[in-house]
Amino acid sequence: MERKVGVYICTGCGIGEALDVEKLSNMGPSLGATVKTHEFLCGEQGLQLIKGDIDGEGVNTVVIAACSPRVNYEEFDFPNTVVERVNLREHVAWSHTPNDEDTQRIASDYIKMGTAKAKKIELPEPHIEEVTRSVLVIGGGVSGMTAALEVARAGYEAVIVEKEAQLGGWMGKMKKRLPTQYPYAKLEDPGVDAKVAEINSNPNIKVYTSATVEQIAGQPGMFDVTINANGGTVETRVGSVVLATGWKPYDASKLESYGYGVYPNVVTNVAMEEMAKNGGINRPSDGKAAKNVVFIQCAGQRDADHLPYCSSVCCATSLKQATYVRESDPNALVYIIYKDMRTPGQYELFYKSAQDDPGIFLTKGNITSITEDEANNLILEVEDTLLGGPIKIKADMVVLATGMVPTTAEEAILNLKYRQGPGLPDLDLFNGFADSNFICFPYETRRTGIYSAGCVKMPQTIAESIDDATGAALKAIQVVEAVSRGMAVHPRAGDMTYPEFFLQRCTQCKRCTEECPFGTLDEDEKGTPQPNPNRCRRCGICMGACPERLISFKNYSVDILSSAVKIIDVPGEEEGKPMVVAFVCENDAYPAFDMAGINRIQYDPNVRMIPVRCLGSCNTVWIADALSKGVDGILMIGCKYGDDYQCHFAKGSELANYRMGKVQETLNRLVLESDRVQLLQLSIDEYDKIPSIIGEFMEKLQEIGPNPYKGF
Amino acid sequence: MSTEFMVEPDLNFIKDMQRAGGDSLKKCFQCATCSVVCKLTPDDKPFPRKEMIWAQWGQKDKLMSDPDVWLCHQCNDCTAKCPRGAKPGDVLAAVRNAAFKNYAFPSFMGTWLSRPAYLPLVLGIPALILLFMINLWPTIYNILPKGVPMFEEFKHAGWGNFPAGPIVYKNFYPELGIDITFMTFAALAIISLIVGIGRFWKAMVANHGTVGLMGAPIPNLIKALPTILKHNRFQSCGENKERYYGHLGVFYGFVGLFVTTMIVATAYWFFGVHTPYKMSSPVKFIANISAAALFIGSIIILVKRFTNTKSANSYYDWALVTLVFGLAVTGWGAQFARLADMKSIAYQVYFLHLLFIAYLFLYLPFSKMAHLAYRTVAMVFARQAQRDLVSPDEVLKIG
Repeated sequence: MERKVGVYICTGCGIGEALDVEKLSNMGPSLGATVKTHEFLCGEQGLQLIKGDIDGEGVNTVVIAACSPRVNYEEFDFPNTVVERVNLREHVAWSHTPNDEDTQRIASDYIKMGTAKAKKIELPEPHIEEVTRSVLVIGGGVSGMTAALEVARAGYEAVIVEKEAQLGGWMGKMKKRLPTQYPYAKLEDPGVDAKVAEINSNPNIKVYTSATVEQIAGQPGMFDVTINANGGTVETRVGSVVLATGWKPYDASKLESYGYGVYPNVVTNVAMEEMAKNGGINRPSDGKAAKNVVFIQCAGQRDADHLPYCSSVCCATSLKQATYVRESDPNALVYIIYKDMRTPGQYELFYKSAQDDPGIFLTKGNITSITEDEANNLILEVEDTLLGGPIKIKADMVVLATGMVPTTAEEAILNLKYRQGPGLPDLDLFNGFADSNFICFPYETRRTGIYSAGCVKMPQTIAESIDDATGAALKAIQVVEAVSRGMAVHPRAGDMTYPEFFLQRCTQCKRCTEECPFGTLDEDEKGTPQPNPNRCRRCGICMGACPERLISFKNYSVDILSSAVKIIDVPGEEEGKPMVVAFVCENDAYPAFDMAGINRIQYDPNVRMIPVRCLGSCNTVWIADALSKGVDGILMIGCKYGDDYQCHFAKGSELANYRMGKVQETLNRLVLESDRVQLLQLSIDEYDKIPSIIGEFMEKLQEIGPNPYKGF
Repeated sequence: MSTEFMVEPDLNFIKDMQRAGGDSLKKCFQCATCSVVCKLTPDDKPFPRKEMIWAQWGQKDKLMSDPDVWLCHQCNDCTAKCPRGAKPGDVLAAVRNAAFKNYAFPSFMGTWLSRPAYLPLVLGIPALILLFMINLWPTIYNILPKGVPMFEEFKHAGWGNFPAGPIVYKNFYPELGIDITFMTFAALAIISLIVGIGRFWKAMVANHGTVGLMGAPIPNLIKALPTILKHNRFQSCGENKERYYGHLGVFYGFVGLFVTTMIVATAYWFFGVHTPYKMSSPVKFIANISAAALFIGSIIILVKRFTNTKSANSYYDWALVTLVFGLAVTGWGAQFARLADMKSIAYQVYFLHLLFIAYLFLYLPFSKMAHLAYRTVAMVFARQAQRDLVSPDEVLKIG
């Protein structure tokens, strides 16, 4: 494509007052572009100026030197035109001394860098294949049934795969469910029959019971699923997957210290619910009605030797079961011994109403011993109570509030035919739950097109599972619609670029297939990557990984960013001030710099920022480019990594850190101080720390001294 | 208190307390805000937090032997600050009410005074006794030796049989008859109270823990008296400041009336002085001032009880305030009717006044009025157990 580049400088919002715009306008010949200015570029006249040049002058590449690309992106969107944004407002005029020589230099560098990039950016050509729009729902409990119904009501087809012989899951095994309506005091019918009937009468839902998923191959929009149902197998193609396989009760046989398995009248909350549903609450030892019942909360939970986490629903469940006992006999006495009463949200009101029952006794406490008398009554000793000392309780029956273990803790369930394995990766971070740290997007997993809902993701009640499954159903629909248009889903929703592989140069090093956080790439026998564009989140981590630099996007490549690095005007040694290039993650760090600008926080002007999709997409060659250019230091600013990672692509900043370790080794070998390269973790709310973190780095560079390659 | 014990919640006791003004007791979640805001609690094992969980868990023995329940003067600062609406002030009042019932001797009296359903019975008994006695006096007159001035009043006692002239209440109910009737009532009440208080004291001693008891009850009572007489406990109240004046009025009203009653009785028995006294008499003056104190005090309390929506008003509370108010109003009313010579209503008002006094005497050990004994005893015990009303140097002395 013949490039005709137009650079448009906006002088509004304080840019014109802070910078010598006339001087910037004179850069045209050196940029190889026409440069125009306007006082209100995003206004009608300003946009008309640009559109006029596109239509009349044949400008096909537009550089907008104005505000942050995080604003006015709809205004500055011109069809079939390459648009590159240069942030003169937040990152220059608002965050540096007005009409200062250094400030002016940032502006001219940014315009040069933006123009250099724009010249190499190509228009995206979306990858579009024929897609199937149906949704596979694994698990036929409350979450799975809800997800399938929501999918079907939205006009899509759903396929339910349920392991048991009938739908319903745990919901079908309950006597009552927790209240869902004000005043949150009255237990409700679980309503499983109505739900199952609704599913059976919906022509958009196909149900396989006594069935499991044997394999899922392919990618969003074209998952090929092998279902094992009643001994035979069924093949079907779906567009996306909702994982709603729920939980299993914690193995109570490990709770001998509470007398489980030792004394017949110690039971679990699951057994209690079953008893209450099927007849009555009677002691296993002699079948007599249990009238003095002790509930022990957190039995094998929040305990380093058992489940380390809180299952969130057990407190409300014990209160529910306590009311079963109380309703069975007005003279019954129910004790609940807890670590903390945890009844989140409106369940606090249910807690209050149950607490108001004169026959329900609550105290914090630790069980120190459980023994049995000759009549199989249980004697509990409890210390650290609210009653001012240790107490003893005599009970007919003890109920252990055991916790939830996600089904994904033990099995892959999805059985993905992916190069990176059959299950969801790194679930040990979430104690086996199919959860993720995806910012603000709870349904996401690290396998695109697969969304988790209900208790497999985190312990939750029926009401919460219904909400959760509804959200997951919407995401499952969204992904098939997105891939049908060749668009990415979260977090780069709508992005139509995708990684292209120049495989002739591939050395089968497998770094891309290994490091992709989303398992996008499969491999052939030789180890050559086999892309699955619909699985891709467009983070560019593969691009950062590739030593051959053969992976690129139409608007984002090693070469495009290299050209921006190389065009920076690095002053000579005589200036005495270090020059820094910062690769800044677009997801949190770049907005933090915008926030700094909005708050008029000033920081050192000798930093040139280059936005990146993710730190993980940073190819080490950019560092070499910068250092050989004479840049004194390099900052990589991205999201927090580790167990509580905040990286929007899960592994990007962690991988970048790992790679930087390697770079630093190389620098040491070259007798170039490794401290010149530093990776920083910054979140959007830490914008106020920017001046100090940059200041400290600058001081360190002053100590190290100038880059010896300066001036070469 | 820190020794292990078997908890055996008493469900009926919980329900009793809930009926006696503590319906909110189960709402407590043990944050201890109440104990933090309370200006009266000792620092060690403060109330009302521990009493709240004992109440929730139906720990009757612990609450019945707990002097702290009586150290509370129900200013309701805790109730105002309670984040859970558990109203600790009301709950402690309910515990005290439950104690009146628990220690009642004979025990059925405790039940009668605990619920409004028994009110007809409770009022009917003294009314019938009084009516019966009124009719009995002339009959007794017939069998008594004639000419003894003391007995002459018996002759015309009763309704509508009065000699001509101004209203004289002893013609309706003889002075000697009053003494016989009400001294009997008082004797019964004192016996009941001694038995009840004795049980209470024994329970406190048995359950008070390991701290040694300091001295004997009487010296401790003498040391505790200034605090009681000065009412300074009421003064530290934040929420309900006016009640200091209300209680002070009622308290000294009763003290004044007790003093005048004693003077009149002494004058009658030892000096042959008869009623009615002249309005200019100092005795009459003290009596009227005391009635005024009673009246104003009860009005303050009534207004507070009607306007305060934060705390509950139990049957025990209404019974007591009504009694005090009624005593003052009928006392004054009878005096006014007599001086105004309103023959048509004077005797009826006087009868009502006698009925109120009979209620006061007969039911003192079982109604909220009994707090004058229970609270005093608990305060004495708290001092003896070195828990309250004791100055630091005294504690050091017994080491």
